[in-house]
Amino acid sequence: MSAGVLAVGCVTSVGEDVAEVIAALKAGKTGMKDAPKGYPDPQLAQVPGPDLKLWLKRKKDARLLSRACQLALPAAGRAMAAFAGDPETLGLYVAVGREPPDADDASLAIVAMERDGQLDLERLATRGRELYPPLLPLRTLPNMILAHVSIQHGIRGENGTYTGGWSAGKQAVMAAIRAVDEGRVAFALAGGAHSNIDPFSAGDRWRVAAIERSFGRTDSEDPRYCPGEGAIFALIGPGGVPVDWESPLTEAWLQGCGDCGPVVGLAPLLAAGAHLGGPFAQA
Amino acid sequence: MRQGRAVVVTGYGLRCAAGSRAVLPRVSFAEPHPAATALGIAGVAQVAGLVEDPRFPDDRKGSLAAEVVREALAVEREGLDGARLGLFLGTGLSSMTAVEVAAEVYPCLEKGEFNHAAAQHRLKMLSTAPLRHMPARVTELLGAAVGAILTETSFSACAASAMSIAEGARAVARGDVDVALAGGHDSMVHPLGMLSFVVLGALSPGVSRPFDRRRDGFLLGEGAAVLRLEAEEHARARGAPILARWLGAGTSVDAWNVTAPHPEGHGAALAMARALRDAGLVASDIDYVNTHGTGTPIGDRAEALAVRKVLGDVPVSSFKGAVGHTIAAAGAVEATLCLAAFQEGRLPLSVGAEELDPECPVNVLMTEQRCRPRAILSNSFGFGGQNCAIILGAP
Repeated sequence: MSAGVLAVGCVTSVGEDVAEVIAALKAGKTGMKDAPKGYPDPQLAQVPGPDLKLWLKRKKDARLLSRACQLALPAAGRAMAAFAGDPETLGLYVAVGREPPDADDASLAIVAMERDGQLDLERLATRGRELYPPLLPLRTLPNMILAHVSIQHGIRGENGTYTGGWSAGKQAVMAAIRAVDEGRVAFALAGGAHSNIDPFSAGDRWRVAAIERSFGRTDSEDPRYCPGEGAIFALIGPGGVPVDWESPLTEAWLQGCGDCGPVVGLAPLLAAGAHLGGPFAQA
Repeated sequence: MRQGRAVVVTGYGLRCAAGSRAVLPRVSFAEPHPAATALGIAGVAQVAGLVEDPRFPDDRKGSLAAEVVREALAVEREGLDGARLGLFLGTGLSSMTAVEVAAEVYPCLEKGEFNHAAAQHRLKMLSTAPLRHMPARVTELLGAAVGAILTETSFSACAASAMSIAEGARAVARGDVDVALAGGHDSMVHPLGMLSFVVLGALSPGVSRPFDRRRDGFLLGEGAAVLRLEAEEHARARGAPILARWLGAGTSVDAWNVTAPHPEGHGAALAMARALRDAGLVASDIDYVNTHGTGTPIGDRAEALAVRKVLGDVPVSSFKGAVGHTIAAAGAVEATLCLAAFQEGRLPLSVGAEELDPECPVNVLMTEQRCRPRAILSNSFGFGGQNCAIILGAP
């Protein structure tokens, strides 16, 4: 099975353009920065911006965007820039992380429901109901990344949203390649977005560390990696470009982006593109 | 369009308010629930007698998944040892339960305000972190337990488990695995889960009435189901019973609005048309449509218009008036209940519908109809506009 990578768009802590990112990685640049005082981890890799003005058709939709959505739109937009086909039949396969906590909005309501250290149903139905943000589910549902990308570009083809930690990106990419290979779509946009840098998501990393210990995979009490965020999408078409899953660039990408499962999944595709020349030759 | 090996359904695991057997539900299974009562909702469609799996404490979703995976492997398993197995599960949000809020959030309150610094410090103390629901972890753990060589987790909202079934069937057809356990699991039957649907205005305060003129939202359910999908040659070689044939699937995105479906059901129609093409069928080959039919005013109308456009006057009904909306599990629970239509030779009635809405121009079944369906199409549509239609054929 093979697939051609026709275009790639990304948003990372070391750049917002493929050539820029590859150049940065080759130069040894890292997106890791010291975390603010009180943050659960010593370092994090945060993306500056992004500026959404270029990538959002309806400005009012901005209030519905999770951080991962904010990262996804520019990445998908760059990958789609050269697409001249029919978006009605374009496949869309998106890897996502766990839903963001959106704690600032929800915490007022959750605090208002407390009585004697427990969640009180009477308070849930009164103050909690008044304060609970009605748009919260629309911001936190992970498949909203796919929804917003599809709305921006009119994409109505075969699709899927995948989760699975670091494997999610590969699931999405493989689903796209199979859809192209089996003739269900002519082209597909595949990728993902994940932001793991808010303090509450740190809880998940510590939980994962506990799970890893319970499996005997490590005796470390630390999550073993620093939080990051990023998004990457590739426009995939039929044949001609063998995918090099063993590309050494994977490692470099991991260091640059921290905990971004979807980004890791597409790194080999980037690497394949880097070996091909064309738009990637400059890097 | 369909390629590769023929795929059949040789077993299932099911948990929903109507029970654990694939029989046509005839009544609503709503029961009172303390949080629902507080929120002014008549009840929820909850699974009775669920035993918590120690791997998934305070996580009904995980326990539901564990039960159906175990059950789907237990029946008619002779000859399954050594089969290459895949596990494909659709799952839902890991929204906080009351237990979790009490354990992790409320200890960080100081004078009625949330202390972020205290919370961050507390995270470091989680050396025995509560293993609450983490979406892909259920698939990973259960996949490892059954020796699956391939696992995949769909997070496609209410279309998740239908999409997982499609992915599982394709994996079997391609030859990636011999047997796929494919479906999904979900439970939002807890206070904050219910509240999130209440503030969206999605829940009916009373009775779920899909396609009825008075419909005003859905009944919240919970459940899990997996179909055991198997290469036909593999199933026949071991003498397994064939409950249905896998015929095809189609998906689409509305690309319209994050809160509402396309008003004319454009995306839904695309998914159904693609499913027909994938199955190599035409509209007249479909004898029954199990609709997504949640009972929301906009959703039912959009789906009805789409069904009319693609499939004409085909008989339709919704299970959601009986077993509630099981959210990410809906596609799998309802596909499994559809097996009963093949087995019993009846098409199910739409529980809750009494006075049909003329704005929904479809042939809604008000009573059960005797019929041995050749092919059944089952719809699942998710928030965000993800749509999936799957087609099962008579055994």
